[in-house]
Amino acid sequence: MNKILLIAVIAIVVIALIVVLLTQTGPTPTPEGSTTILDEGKTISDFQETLIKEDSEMEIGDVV
Amino acid sequence: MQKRKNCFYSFALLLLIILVTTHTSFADQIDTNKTEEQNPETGQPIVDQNTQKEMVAMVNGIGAKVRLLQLEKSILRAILRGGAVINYIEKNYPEEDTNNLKEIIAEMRVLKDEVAEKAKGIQNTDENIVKTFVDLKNDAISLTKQFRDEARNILKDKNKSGLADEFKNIDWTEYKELHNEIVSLIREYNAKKIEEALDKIPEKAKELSQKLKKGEISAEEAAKELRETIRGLGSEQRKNIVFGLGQAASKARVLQQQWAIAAKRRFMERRIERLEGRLERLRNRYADMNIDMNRLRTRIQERIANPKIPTMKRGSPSGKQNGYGGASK
Repeated sequence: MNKILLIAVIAIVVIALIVVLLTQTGPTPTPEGSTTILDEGKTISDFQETLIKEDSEMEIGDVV
Repeated sequence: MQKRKNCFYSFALLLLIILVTTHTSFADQIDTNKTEEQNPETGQPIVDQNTQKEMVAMVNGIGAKVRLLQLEKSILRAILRGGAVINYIEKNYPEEDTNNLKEIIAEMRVLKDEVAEKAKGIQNTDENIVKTFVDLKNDAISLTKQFRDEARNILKDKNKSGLADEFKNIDWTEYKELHNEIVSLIREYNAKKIEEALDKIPEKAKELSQKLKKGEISAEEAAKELRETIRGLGSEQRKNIVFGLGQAASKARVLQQQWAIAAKRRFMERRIERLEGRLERLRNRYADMNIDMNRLRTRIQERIANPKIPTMKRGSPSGKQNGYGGASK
C-alpha cells in the first residue's frame, strides 16, 4: 500500500515539474548575430536595411 | 522505519504543494500580461512584417518621428481620398446615405491629430513610443478598412468611372508639405546612421553625412559608398568597423523583438482606453465636424463593446438588428 502511495506521489511530482518547466518556456529574445565572426557583405546589407528610403510609404490600405 | 517513510511522504507532498502554487501564480502572471497576436477589428496581425521592419528605424528619436509622420501622411491621404469618395457619391447618387462614411472620416481626423501630437513631442525613443505607433497604425488600418467596406457596399453596382476625376480635384498641399518635412527628417536620420557606422573614419563619415543631408545621394548610394570605403581599409580597421555594424544590428534586432512583444501585450486593453479618449476628443471637436455626434458615439461605444470586424448597414450606426457588428467580407 505504502509503495503504491510512494509511486503515486513521485509520479505527481514529476508530472507537475514537467508542466511547470513547459509553461515557463516563453518567447525570450536572443541577440542573434552577436558572434565575433561576421559576414562582411551581410552585415553591410543589414545596415543598409536600417536606412530609410526617401520615397518609402507607410501602408494602411486604401479607401476604395 | 515507518517514521522515516512518513517523513518522506510529507516532504514529497510539501514539494507538490510548492510546485502547484508556483505554477498557479505564474499562470496568473501570464494572464495579466496577456499577449494578442491579431487585431480582431481588422483580422490582421497586430505587428505585421511591414510594421516590424518599420520599427527598426525607431531606435533613435529621429527615426521614431519619421515613422509617426509617415503614419500621419498615410492617414491624411486616406482622409483626402475618402473625402473625394463622399463628394462623388453625394453628387452622383444623392439617394445614398453617406453618414457612416463621414463619421469614419471624422474619427480619422481625430486620429491624425493624435499621431501629429505624438510626433511633435518626440525627443528620444523608448518602448512606449513604439507601442503608441503600433496602436495608432492599427487604428488607421481599421478605419481605412471600415471606410473601404462601406464605400464598396454603396458603390458595388454603380458606375465608378467619374471617381478618378474626383481624385484629380484633391488639394494635396498639406500632404506635400508633410512629405517634404518627412524627406528632410529621413535625410537627417540616414546621415546620423552613416556617422555612427563610420565613427572610426570621421572625415569620410562627415563627407557622406553632408551629401545625405543635402539630398545629393540616396540611402542606397550612401550604403554603396560605405561598402566601398570599408573595402579600401586595412584589415584591422575593416574588422573593427564591420564588428561595430554587427553589434548595432544585433542590438536593433533584440529591441525589435522586445518591442513587438511589448506592443502585442495588453493591446486590447490599450485599445479601449484609446477609443474612450478619442470619443472625448470628438466631443470637443463636434461643432466643426458637421456630423451626428450621437450616432458617432454609439458607433465607437459598440466598437469598444464588440471589437469584431464591424460592417455597417447604411443609415444606421448601431445594433445587431441594423447589421452593425457582423463579420466583414
